[in-house]
Amino acid sequence: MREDDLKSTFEQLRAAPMPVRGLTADDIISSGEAVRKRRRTMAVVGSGVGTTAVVVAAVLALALKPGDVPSGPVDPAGPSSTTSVSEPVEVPPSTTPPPESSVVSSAPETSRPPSTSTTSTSPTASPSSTSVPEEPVVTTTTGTEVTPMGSTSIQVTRTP
Amino acid sequence: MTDPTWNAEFTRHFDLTADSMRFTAYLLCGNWHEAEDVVQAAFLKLYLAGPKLARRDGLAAYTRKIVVRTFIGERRRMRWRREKLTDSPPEMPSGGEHVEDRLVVWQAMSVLGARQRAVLVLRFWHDLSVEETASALGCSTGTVKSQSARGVATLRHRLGPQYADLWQEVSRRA
Repeated sequence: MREDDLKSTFEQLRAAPMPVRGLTADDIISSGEAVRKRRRTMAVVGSGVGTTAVVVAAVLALALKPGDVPSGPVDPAGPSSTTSVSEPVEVPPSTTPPPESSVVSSAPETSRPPSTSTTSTSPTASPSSTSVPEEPVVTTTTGTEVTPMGSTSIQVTRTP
Repeated sequence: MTDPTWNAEFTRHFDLTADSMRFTAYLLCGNWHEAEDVVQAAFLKLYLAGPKLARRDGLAAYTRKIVVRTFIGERRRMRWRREKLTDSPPEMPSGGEHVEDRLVVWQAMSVLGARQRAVLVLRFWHDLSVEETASALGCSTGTVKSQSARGVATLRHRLGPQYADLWQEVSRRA
């Protein structure tokens, strides 16, 4: 067999009558328009679904960050060990001079600021002082005693 | 988006080349039913790709390339289908002159692979060169040469020595 025989066979086949063509250009164009419309719809739907998926993934990633997740069960909070009293306390003027004021009071007048002497001796001192309004006390050390354990304790007696 | 200019150009091109492409598809497929499907799919691809074409001066060659590649793609997918092809064509050719040699060659060509068949059709029916055939099939020129040689050798093997006598007798009657 030669190549010319093959070509002659093709020519004879071409000379034979062809069946009626059942396809027109309008059919192709209408099919093409349908395909384009379907592809456009799929593109719109796909982009919407993709955008939604990205947003949901971002929200989930931000909500479930590893640092915010507690490592174990949390114990319930118990009652508070400290109580605070919010009653208003009247603070009369301080009449007790501070400990250093007695020492300072013996100092010469020129070495002490004028404001300090006024506040330490005046019975109408400013109410902002935080000293306890008690009568002046005198502290006297009476003696020491040795405990059986060997520790030394200091006994303090307060007298009015 | 409808392009009226492209629609008119496509309609004109379809009317000019539809019969030629149908016969090319018939040579490739071996039956008119499959050829109609291949041609329809090829023209649909051409219509969808038309607005994106930079140049439209070679539409005939481009359409032929689409037809050949659509045929090869269909044959590739056909391996996974449940329907099996048979060696005999699904319909008997219409009566006419030289029916004998057409039948003989036609049956011999049915055993060729899709690429060998496409190479033979493009080379010996469309008279394409090796380079043009390689461009249409998307392969190298060496592949075209080897596929063409193997296809012709297969036909010679299938037809046997008695084909020469039959061919001489048919030619004498013609």
